[in-house]
Amino acid sequence: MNIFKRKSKQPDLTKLEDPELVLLAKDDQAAFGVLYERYIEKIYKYIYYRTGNHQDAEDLTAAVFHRAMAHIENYTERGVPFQAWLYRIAHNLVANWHRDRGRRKIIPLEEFIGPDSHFESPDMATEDKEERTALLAAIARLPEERQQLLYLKFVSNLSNADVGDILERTEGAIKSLYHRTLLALRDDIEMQHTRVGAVGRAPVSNSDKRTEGN
Amino acid sequence: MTNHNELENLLSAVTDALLADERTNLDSIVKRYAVPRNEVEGLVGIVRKLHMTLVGAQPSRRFVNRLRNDLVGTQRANIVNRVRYLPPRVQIAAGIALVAGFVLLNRRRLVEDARHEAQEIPLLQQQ
Repeated sequence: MNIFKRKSKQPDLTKLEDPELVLLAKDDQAAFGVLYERYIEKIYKYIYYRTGNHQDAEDLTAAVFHRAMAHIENYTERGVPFQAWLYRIAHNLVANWHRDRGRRKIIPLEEFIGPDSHFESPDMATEDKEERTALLAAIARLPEERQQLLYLKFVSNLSNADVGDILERTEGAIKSLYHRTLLALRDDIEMQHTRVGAVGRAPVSNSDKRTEGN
Repeated sequence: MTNHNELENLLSAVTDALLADERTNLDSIVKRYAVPRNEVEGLVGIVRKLHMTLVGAQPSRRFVNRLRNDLVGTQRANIVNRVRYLPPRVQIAAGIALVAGFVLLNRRRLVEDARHEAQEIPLLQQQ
């Protein structure tokens, strides 16, 4: 028997739930490493959609995890799961980033559009791409919180309960906000379609930005 | 008049199903809710488009590895972390060995001191 086999009793950290890992991560960097691997992609994707470029997404993602690591000793769950805590850090950093630069997002929309589906004709492919471009433009005109909701649901693939933890709302309120967001998107796209006669060709301007409440 | 809660539940269910598996038959989900089909179709279409459009941008592997190294790659060879995962018997044995070593070292020093004192006393007496 090799009694000096050092890691024989080491638990498989990847199988632990977040609260257990967070406790360990307060004085064990390996546990923080597992949390990092668990959330790096989600946080990156979320920030990427909110900044619109890879360089800033990388810088802000790094800042999120450095801040999380620096403050994890003081983190206690108290109704805010670790994931929500990370997203709130990300949200605050992105908000500061926008404020410091005093600018609205400059989003290269084409980069966001997913891979082309297989279409029988080039015309159909073009039409599909135009529709997606119009949809992204419509999302960009939504109020901040509604954009955040869509990114959290579709990009980060979070449930209504998880989104609620991040946006500090109940699950029911998120369902309701989601419904209203879809209605707003539908109306916006229809309006743009009527206005310019071709979906997705309308320029995005600040004057078009909705100022309605949630 | 459509029940708003029913419609909200339907849209959430459709979205969750689509995000979990894009091949899901959404019609079967829509049928479970008492919502007129014409009210739902446009919105479900937007959900589908959102799903197809908002695809995640992957971080580069280089960035992920570099940041990981920045955060946890420089982990110190922390003796506490190393000892923590030793089997309990080995931890106890290591503790006993540590204490015994400490006692032996101290004892040896005391013996040496006593020997020096013993050698110095005759010299003082001769003087």
